[in-house]
Amino acid sequence: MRVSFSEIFKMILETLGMTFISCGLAYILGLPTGILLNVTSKKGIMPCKWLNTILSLIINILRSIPCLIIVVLLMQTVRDIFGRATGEWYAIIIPLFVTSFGFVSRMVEQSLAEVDNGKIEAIESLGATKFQIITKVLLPESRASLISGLAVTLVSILGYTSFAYNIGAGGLIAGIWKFYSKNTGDYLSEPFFWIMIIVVILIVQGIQELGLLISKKIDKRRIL
Amino acid sequence: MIDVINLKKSFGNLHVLRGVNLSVKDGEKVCVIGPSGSGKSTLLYCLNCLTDPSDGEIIYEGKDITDFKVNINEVRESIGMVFQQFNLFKHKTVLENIILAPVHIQTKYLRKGIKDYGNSKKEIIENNKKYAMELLEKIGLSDKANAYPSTLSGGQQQRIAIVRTLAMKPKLILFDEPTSALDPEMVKEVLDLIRDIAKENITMIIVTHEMGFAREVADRVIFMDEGVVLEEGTPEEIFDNPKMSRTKEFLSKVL
Ligand SMILES: Nc1ncnc2c1ncn2[C@@H]1O[C@H](COP(=O)(O)OP(=O)(O)O)[C@@H](O)[C@H]1O
Ligand SMILES: [Mg+2]
Repeated sequence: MRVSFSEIFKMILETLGMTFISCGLAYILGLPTGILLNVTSKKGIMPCKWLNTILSLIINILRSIPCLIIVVLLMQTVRDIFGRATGEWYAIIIPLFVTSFGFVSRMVEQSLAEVDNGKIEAIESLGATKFQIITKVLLPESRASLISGLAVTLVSILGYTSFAYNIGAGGLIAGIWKFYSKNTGDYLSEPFFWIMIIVVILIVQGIQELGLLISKKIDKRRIL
Repeated sequence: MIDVINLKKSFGNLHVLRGVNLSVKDGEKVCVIGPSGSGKSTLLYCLNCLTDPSDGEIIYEGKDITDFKVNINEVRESIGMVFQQFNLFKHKTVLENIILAPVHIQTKYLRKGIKDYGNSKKEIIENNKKYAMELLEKIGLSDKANAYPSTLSGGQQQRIAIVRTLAMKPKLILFDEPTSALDPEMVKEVLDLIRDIAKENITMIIVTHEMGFAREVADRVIFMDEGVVLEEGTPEEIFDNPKMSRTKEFLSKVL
């Protein structure tokens, strides 16, 4: 099998597309869910046992299903939405979103849990409502942690894009695997094989470094 | 101003407050002393509705604030609280920390058509910034207005936390061991500030381990032990002539 630079470029776009879009969706649902998990927990600002238990249960179940199984389970749903369940890069977005949603919720929950209780009490003593506690203390005070959580999520979703191979949705990682399976024997001596791997490493590093940088920068605002 | 009647609070089987009775008059300065674990913080938290008492009443300005129907956020607008750990918002500058709550509350009134604090949100913010700067000027920290809290010393942070409370123009301020988390050399600046505030007509309830300070500013000293007010009186009565053996024992350890 031969690949060209333009094909690699297309794979990069596909990989970034599936990663970022499914991550965005996961946060649209996961951020509020994480907040709900945090505030309804026993130590949260509005404990609510039944809601917390139900949410936890759903998330735990979702998180315990392997990504590949989710891909298979959602085939019909994806087909209903996009008209086809395989062959195009966007076919993997819904399964990736479903897989990472639980993960995101837990990350958000944990980031919020790091916020010092005293800060919450302080703003309560100043007359804040529950909603203001969330918007003025919980979220802003945990920004740095939320950002590093986002980087971790992106990298983990990027890893999951390998399952795109199974439904022919393309992307870099699936591309690498295809490359290997079509060139059995001498793939290690193919420059393109290595270029693709290096690109994956660069993307992962880029996300991590950027996450670290932003998160540090937000933290640094305090040491101005 | 505030009457606490038979206030009880338990955490599971742990009875932290076992029937506290306390009455504080307008403008009075009350210092609360007592061994650690005796329920002093819990009492203050109940007074500010930061925890719900298990039983008893807290009558503040004629209303029982333990009643669920009372809007505790309105109550809190006139009750300030200063914590041991300062609890400044680290992502906000000193100035932002100070004006956050008053700006919000005053904007809320503006929306209801009350124009006492300004005719627009912008004006309210300006007014509050001006007042905050005046307060910062008084404590000699106006140059720190745009700094983030973590760049300041503990003493400075606590003084700003106190200013944040003052910016709400509270009628009552609760202090929970305001100097206990500070390095010894910073205790004085904070106590000096509290002393200054004590000259004004604000009611103050101060939990403290600084006995010299308590003797000096308190109109009345309360000794708490095992969840009850065991003894109360003027500073002279408590420090020079304690009646209960537990009070004597405690004072002999801390004085
Ligand atoms: N949220 C809580 N849950 C369980 N126990 C608590 C809680 N808050 C305080 N306590 C317990 O209540 C007792 C009194 O605490 P506190 O009011 O902080 O005492 P003090 O301020 O006099 O040292 C302590 O034994 C403490 O462990
Ligand atoms: Mg305490």
